[in-house]
Formats: sequence, C-alpha cells, structure tokens
Amino acid sequence: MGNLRNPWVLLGILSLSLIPNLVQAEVGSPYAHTCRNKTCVKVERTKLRADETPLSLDVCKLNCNALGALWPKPTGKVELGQEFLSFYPQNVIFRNASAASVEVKATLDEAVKIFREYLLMYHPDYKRDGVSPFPENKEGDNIAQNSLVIDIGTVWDVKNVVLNVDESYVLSLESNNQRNSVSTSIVANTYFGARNALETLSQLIAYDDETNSLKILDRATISDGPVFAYRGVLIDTSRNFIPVESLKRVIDGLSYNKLNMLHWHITDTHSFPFYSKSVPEMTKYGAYSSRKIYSVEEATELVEYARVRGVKIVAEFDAPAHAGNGWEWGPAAGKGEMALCINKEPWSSYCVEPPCGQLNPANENMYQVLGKIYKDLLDIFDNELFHMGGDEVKLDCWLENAEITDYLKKKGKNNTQETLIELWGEFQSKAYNLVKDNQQVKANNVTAIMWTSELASIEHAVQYLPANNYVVQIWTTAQDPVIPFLIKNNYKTIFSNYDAWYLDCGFGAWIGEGNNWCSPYKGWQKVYENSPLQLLSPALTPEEIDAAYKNGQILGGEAPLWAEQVDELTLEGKLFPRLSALAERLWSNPDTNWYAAESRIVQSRHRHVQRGLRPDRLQPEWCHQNEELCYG
Amino acid sequence: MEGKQQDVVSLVGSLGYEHKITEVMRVDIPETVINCDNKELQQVELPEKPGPEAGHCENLNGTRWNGTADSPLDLTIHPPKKRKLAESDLANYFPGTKIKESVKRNRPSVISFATRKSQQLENPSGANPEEHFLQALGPRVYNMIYGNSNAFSGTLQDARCSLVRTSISADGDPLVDEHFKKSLGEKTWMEVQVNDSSMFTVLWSLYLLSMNFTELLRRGETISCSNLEWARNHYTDAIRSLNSVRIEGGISLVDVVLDRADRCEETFRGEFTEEERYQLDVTEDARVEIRANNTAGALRALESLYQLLWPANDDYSLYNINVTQIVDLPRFSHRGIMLDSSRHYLPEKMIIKILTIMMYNKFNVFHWHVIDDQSFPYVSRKFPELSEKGAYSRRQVYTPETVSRIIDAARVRGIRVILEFDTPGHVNAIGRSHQEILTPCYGDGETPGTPNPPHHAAYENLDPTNELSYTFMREFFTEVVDTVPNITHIHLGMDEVYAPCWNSSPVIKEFMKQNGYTNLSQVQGHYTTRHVEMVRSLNVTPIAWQDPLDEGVE
Repeated sequence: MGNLRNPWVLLGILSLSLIPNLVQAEVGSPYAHTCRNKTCVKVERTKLRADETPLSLDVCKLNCNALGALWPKPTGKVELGQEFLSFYPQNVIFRNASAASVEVKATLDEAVKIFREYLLMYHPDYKRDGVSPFPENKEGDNIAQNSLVIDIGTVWDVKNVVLNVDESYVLSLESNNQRNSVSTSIVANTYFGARNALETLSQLIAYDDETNSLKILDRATISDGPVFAYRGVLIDTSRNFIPVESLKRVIDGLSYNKLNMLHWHITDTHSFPFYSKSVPEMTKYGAYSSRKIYSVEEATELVEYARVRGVKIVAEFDAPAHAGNGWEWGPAAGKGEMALCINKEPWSSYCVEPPCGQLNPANENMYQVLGKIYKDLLDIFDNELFHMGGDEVKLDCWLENAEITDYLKKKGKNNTQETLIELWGEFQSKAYNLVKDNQQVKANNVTAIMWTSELASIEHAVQYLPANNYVVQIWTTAQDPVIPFLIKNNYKTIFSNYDAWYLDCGFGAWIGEGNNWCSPYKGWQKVYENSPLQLLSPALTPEEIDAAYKNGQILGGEAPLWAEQVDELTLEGKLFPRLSALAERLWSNPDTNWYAAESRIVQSRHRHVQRGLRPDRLQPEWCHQNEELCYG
Repeated sequence: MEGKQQDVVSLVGSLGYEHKITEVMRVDIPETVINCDNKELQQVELPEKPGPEAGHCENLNGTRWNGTADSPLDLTIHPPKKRKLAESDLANYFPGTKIKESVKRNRPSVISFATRKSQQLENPSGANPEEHFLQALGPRVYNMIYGNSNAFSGTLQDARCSLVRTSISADGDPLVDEHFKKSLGEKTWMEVQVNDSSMFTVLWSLYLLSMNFTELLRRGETISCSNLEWARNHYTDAIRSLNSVRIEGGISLVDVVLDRADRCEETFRGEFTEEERYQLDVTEDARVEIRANNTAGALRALESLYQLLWPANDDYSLYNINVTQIVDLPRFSHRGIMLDSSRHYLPEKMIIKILTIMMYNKFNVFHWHVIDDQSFPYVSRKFPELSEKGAYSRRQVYTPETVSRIIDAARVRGIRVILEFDTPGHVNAIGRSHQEILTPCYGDGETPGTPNPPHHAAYENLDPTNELSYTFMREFFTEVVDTVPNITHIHLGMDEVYAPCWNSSPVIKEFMKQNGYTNLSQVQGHYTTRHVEMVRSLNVTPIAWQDPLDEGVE
C-alpha cells in the first residue's frame, strides 16, 4: 500500500497546468469564518480577534460544535480535537488493513479507493477524472511533510449485508509528537462497520481554501452503531424507468448517510423492466421500450455495487395487484389470462390508479410463470429478505370475472367479498411457497415482507400472514390501529407511514388537477421527527414499546419514493437531503428535534454536492454562511 | 404515399391561430388521434384570406398563380382579424378533404414541385444526374437553381410575384454537385427565394432526401446569419441526437436565404407579437419552408419544426414528419421567467441551460433578479467592493464578461434580458460595502444605526433622504448602461419596502415635513420617481414591481 504515494505524486504533476488560479482569489476574500460560541460566524478578517485564525467554512464546521460535521450523529462517545493538521491526499497512507478473508480484504480495498476519491472531491477544482487538483509534494512545502496514516482492523468474515449485521465501529485519531502526522485506527467486527468508519473519517476532513489543502482534526474518538437494523429507501422503476447509473448514484447517497437498504419496487402494472431470463415475454410485452430494461448483468452488478457501499438490495415483486402490463401474452401462448383487468376502464372501478391489472388466481399457468420469475429474482437478489408486495388489491376486478366465479363455484363457494379475501389468502400462501421453493440456499429461511393491506389487517393478518413468515411494512398513517395490533401479535415491522415518510407527496397531481393524493410535501423536519418508537404511544405503554424494540419487532424504517412523478432527472432532489433526515432518525434515533440538527444537515447536504449528488436546497447559501442569523 | 388524416400533434409553445396537418407521410402512424376541442377555438384569430383577384405570377414549373397585388408571402399585410369561429371556418380549418383545398388556395404556391413530383422521381438508372435534373425541371429552372445568376429586372408587379433565382451555390459548389449526385434518383429538390422589398423572408428549407446527416451539416455551413447561426447548429444537433441510427432518407437543412441580410443582425426587441410570427410548411414532397418577418420568428418556427418530428419505430432509429402547415404568433409579447441569483448563486452554465429550455417553450424574456439581501454577485468595475463584500465568495460572481456572454446566449435564442437591481429594499448585500447609503434605523428611539428585532435591523433600505443614494445609483446605472450590450430596460425592483425602519427615523420625519409628505408611501414615491427619471435620462426604460402602485405612488 505504501507505493500508492508515487502515483499520486505523478497525478499531481499532470494536473498542475489544469488548475485555474482561483485559489489565490479565494484567499483574497475580505471575510473568513471562525468559531464563536459553538457557531461558525462570518467575519471580516480585519475584525478577527488575536486568538482567532481565519478558517474556511468547511474547516470551521469540523469541530465548532460537539458533533462537528458528522451525519448521522454517532450513538456512542464523540470527542473531537480542537486543532487541525493540513495534508494532501497523496499523503494518506493505509498502513494496515486486516480482514478475515481474501474476499473481505478485496472489498476493503474497494472502500479505500472510494474514500480516496472523496478526498479529491472536496477540492472545488476536481474534475471527477481521478486527477488530483491538490499541489504535488515539493521541498519547502511544509504541508507536503504531513501525513494521515490509517489502520483498519476487521474481525469477522461477513460478506453480505444481513439484517442485524454488526455495523458498529470505533474510530480514533491521534496526532504524533512532531505534529506532522495523524494516525487513525478503525476497529470493527465486520467490513460494514469499517466502511461506516471510513465514512465518518471522511466527515472529519475538509478542504481548506486558505491553504489549498485538506485539514483533519488532530484528535478524535468516536464509537458508533445504529439504533435500527433496517434503514432504507424505496425506489420504484415501473411507473418510470430509472437507468442503472442513476440507481448507483442513489446507492452512493445512501452510503453517505449509512443507510443500508434499497427496496427496489422493480415492477408494477405500468411496466415490467426486470429481464427474467426464464420468461423473457415479461419484458418483451411489459417494458416501456427495448431500452428500458434491467438485464441480469446490470442487476447483478448493482447488487455488488450496493454491497461494497454497505447496502442490501431488497427486491419487491408486487402481487397479486400492481401486476398488469407484461402479463398480457398468456392467451396467445395458450396459457389463458394470467392477469385480469389489464388496462381496463374505467380504471377507478378496478384498481387504485391507472393502469389496472391483477393476477388471475384461477389460472394455474400464472403460478408456473410466477415461480419462474421468483427464481430469477432470487438468483440475483437477496435471499434473506424478499418483498412480496400484497398491497391495494381491488376485489372488484375479480368479482366481475367469470373465470374466478367458476373457480370458486368448483370449490362450492359463491363469489363474494369474503370468499375473494379467502382467494387472496390462497394466492398468498401459494406464492409464499413458490418463493420458498425457489430460494437459492434452501437452508436459509427467507423472510417475506408484505405491505399493510386488507390481508394484513386486524381481521385477517393472523389467519393469512403468520408472524413467523412475514414482516409487515406499514405504509398507512401513524394513527392506523393496525400498528399496535401487529406489535402485540409478534409481527416484525418496518415503518413507512405515508404522513411523514412518503417522499413523492406534495407535488401537482398526476391525474386530474390540484395536488397529489398525499400532499402536502413532507419537509425534512417532518421526516426527521417521525419516530417509530414514539408513534407507538399511547397505543402501547413505554414498557411494551421497549420490549417490542428489544424483541427485534421494530426493524426500522424506509422512505418510499413512488415514481409516478419521478425519473432520473428529478430523483436526487426528491430523495436528498430528506434521506439524510431519515438516516439520522434511524441510525441515531435522537432525543433532540430537527432544530438541533439544522446546521449539521445543511453542512451534510453541502458534502453531498461536493461528492456530485444533486440534492434539493434547503436554504439560501447565506444561511449556510451565517447559520446564527437564519432562524424561524 | 399512403396518407392518413390526423388532427393535432402536440406543440408546447403557443399556437397563435392556426395549425393544420393535412396529411401524414407514412402509413404507420399511431392509432390514437387527439381531437381538437372546438370549445377552445371559439376565440381564435383567423387571418383574412387573400382575395382571389388581382395579378398573376408565373411559378417555376410554368403554372400560373392568381395572387393579390401584394405578395401573399408577406404575412404582415393580412393582419389577423378577431372574430368568432363559424361553422364554415371549422370546415375550412379542420381536417377533411376540403381543407387540403383550402390550404392550397391560401398558400402562395411559390414552390410547386409537388405537382410534378412523379416526373422528377423517375430517374432512369445510370442517367447522368445533371441531365436528369435538366429534363425534370426544364432548362430555365435548372439554370435558376444551378446555373447562372440572373439579376432581376422588371416591373414592381413582377418583383412582387416573380421568383428570382437563388442559388445554393452560383459557382457550382462541389458540395452541391455531390449533393445532386447523391440525391437524384430518389428525389429532387430545390430551394427558392421570393424577393420582395416590403418584407423579410426567411425561407428555410428542409428536405427528406437520401442524404445522411453529415452532409446536412456541411450544407448548413453556407448559412450566414449571426442571429440564427447558433439555433441552426443547435437544432441540427438536436435532430441528429434524436436520430441515433438514421433518419429515413435523411433530413436536409439546406439553406437560409435572406432578402435583407441586415435584419439578421437586428436586436430582437420583443415589443410586438408580430416580431415572432412565422409560417411553417411541411409539404408533400418533404420540403420544409419557414417564413418569418424576423429572426425571432424563424427561431420559433425551428422549435415547432423540431416538435413535429416523431419516432417512427420502437428503437427511435427512424423519424417521420407529417405534412403540416402552421401559422403562429404569440398572444402576448412579454413571456418571461425570473431567476433569482442572489439567494443562491446560479452558474453561467446553468443560466444558459435555462435559456435553452425557455427557447423550447418559446419564452422571450429573461428577467434576471441579480442581487438581493443575501448576496451581490454582480461585479461593478466602478464599485468593485459591492461584490467583493457582497458575493458569497470570489468564485460566485458575474463579471461584465459573464453578463455579456449570458445576454449573447439569450439573443441567439430569441430572448431578451431584463436586469433587475432591486432597491430601496432588499439591499442588505449593498450595505456590506456601502452602509453610508442605507437608512440608519433608530431601534432605541435615539441612536442612529440601532436594530429593533424583530421589527427592523440597524440599517435597512436605501436612504431616500440622502443625496448620496441617488448619486451612487446614478453612477451604478450609468456603468450598467455603458457595459451591458443591447440594454433597453432596467428593472428597478421597488418591492417590499418595509416601513418600521423608516418610521423609526427622525430624519425621515423631518424629510417628510420639509416635503409636505404625510405618509411613507409619498417617501417611497419620491424615491421611485427620482429613479424612474434617472433611468429614463440614461435612455433606458424603467420597470418596477407593482408595489409602488399598490402604495398609491404615481
């Protein structure tokens, strides 16, 4: 690893001619920042007190308050030193990196590469080409004498993100006696803890335009680990297709926030972009176009991309509703109608939004195809968690259908709302068995996730969705009485209550006029303050809530971004920085309100921009530069 | 050609009063037909049709055309007449076989090769292309296009209706030769200009030919009109990027012929909707003609043209265009977007991107709210301290060169820029370097420059009682007028002048007494009037937000 120094020096030489002389101009600013009363204030240089040094805003933020620029806030001890060391990224040395297996070591090397690029990204002139815009090492340049030395130790041979995997770490920084080197020690049980530590370490470093170098705290101790195991986002690629490159950027953003789950709502009634190698008809008929398809290779690559960044992709195959386009080839292929009501009108009679479509539980061929699709999904995606959807079934679609009526008649039943619920339950049980039959490693007990629905209701949940087999994802409001019911009946839960965590709310309607159905927009403050534990009271006592948490029943939460009004052009602004707010709620579960987090989230958002994301802007830049003067 | 009737394709911009598509070039058009809602057409403006009598002109193909004494190409001489749409109009203006006739009747058949297309298409294999062309068109026409230049001479009547030859290349440009060789055998083409001293004609021809796009671009290089140059490249690139594989037969942007080249360089004033009027024809023989009174109109036409292209197959490798006629002009002459570059700095690149998107939507005014309380990114050479202290950082500024580049980018997109320098409120960023021209507030009732939170800060609003405020602003605006190219308007802001600070000041009270004012609106009026006069004296038209009027300022 020591040899890494040389290439960086080379790159430094190459980049010299490319750098405009902007840095000098920046130094000429009449203002600088300095830390006063735990706040970075912008003052004229001539008015700095004798004991104050002019700092760039980013450097000032590193340690001006107890949490510096850290996001999400660590859950253990945080001690931040008060001095800085200037250094160039070419003088970062990864001295030791221990791992329990070759595979983990290789992943660790990836993480180191990513970390190194973050350092370059902090420089405003970085062009995202791997070429360092920092000065090369030269004799007489004191900063070139300084180094950052990093040791990483991981213990266990864990390769994949699994629920409750140990993501914790201890990070400590110490300056040597000569004050020309900071050594960093990262200790974690798993690679994922070590990766989180590197993310935290990158948040202790900032670009300093006063010296055109990076600055790091001279001393720090941070011990940290998440409060909730499941911390995620839902991305919907059926309503609108989202290219793989954009999904990678979303995963990048998740990793900045230590979010660990990407719930991929890959198909729906609108389009079927997942290429199933055993049933290629699905994309042939169901994709928006031949270009708007995820190939097996792309999906596999994405799973690996996410894994390196500490993120698990949880695939969802929504059924029996939210399935339509892509299933229409049955009659021509002699398989009968595998889905009913496809694009049927008036849509409001047969589904919750156009286009309609619902699988046909009376058709055995449908189950055969479904099993093949499950297998193709499970071959690529996770075998621990698999989302089966199960939301928003409109029984009226089945009610009017002769095939369904006949099917029920053969069983000696009439076609009624109640028998249709039974039929739905029958579908779910068959589908669950198909998932179990098709999982890669039979020994693993795949856990299915289901949305709250009529089937997951107080009346039907226990009968149709046994708590041992299913995790329930709650999308209804925080006041839904089914929430305490599920907890009391031993269900594991993931919170996505739409009144706080639906990121697609609050824009103009996409059908009809006015605003969309779950308006208003959920501001980051609202996202931040939605606490899964708090919303359980008063329905549950503090003791019951505590027991449920300790019992592992409150897995965490997830913010869905349904894509009726989203594509790759609008994706990042709608996700970020609100996902940061979600991340701190789920990682840290803070006792404090959004107000205490405001200046940190603004700084964190700025860091997202430096790394190339396009998050929404929360405030005028003036408020970033003058945090103490911007308040409600 | 297997034609099919289709009503309306989507157009993002304004459809002034007429949009017809009479025929579709290819068979495989989508089944969906969007019908025009007649209700929405109740108040459309219809052009008065040119009368059938008067002179006659000879067309290139030798047929005779009955036109009025004035050139029917001059759209301005038939002003739109607003009236209710009658049943007979509907029959005329919406699909049906009759419409095709009405199109032909209305349109000056300056280019009428369509009627002889079948002859032209008959290219004996192995024939010498030039000879074939000669045979197809006749020697006279051939010479007009390809041969010698004939200076026009004749009566005024002839001038108005005759077709004076224009050559794509009078000197036998090798590119043209190449073009002929490639294109003949499939389709023939030509391009003509109507010469009429009373009007400005842009005839922009686009052909579906057996050319590939590289040639198209090369052809395009013969066009020279600085106001259109950028758009030509832009749309050519845009069409090419649509065309990821190929456009069947190729689309050829052949030439722009300008009757009066000087109009090309004229600044778009945006004062009259007529400036943006255009007529766009896509003819049966796959020719596109754009006629406009001004380059701004030509730009709007190009945008419409771009929107008329539709993918003919699933993998977007083939594009079609329907036979279309559009006559269009905007309902309002000011159609704008305001950007605020003070609350957040907007990089030049982003502003230019937005200007491009504005062009796609046929906007014509970019109102640039350059400065505000939060930051002052505008670099004044006379008062450099304004941005030195007022900008978010040294990187986040607009130098005079940046401003010129942005205004130039707007110009080639048919957009004019109105700079706003908001005063007397919204001036916190000015106060960072020029506190002396802000009004000292009396927060404690006695001391100037004291705040009274949350009602007012220590200093707020430019000081209307201080003569320095006016001399400063005059010097500043003089610099703006001197340095900003093509400046015709300045937006003075004048919004949200909050009263508490001025109310707290005994100086303002004394000022009111001296001037006989009884309320603060009069003080604001005083300030506004002086600025309006100041800017007018610099030969620039002032604009302000509605606030002064709301406050009863005259």
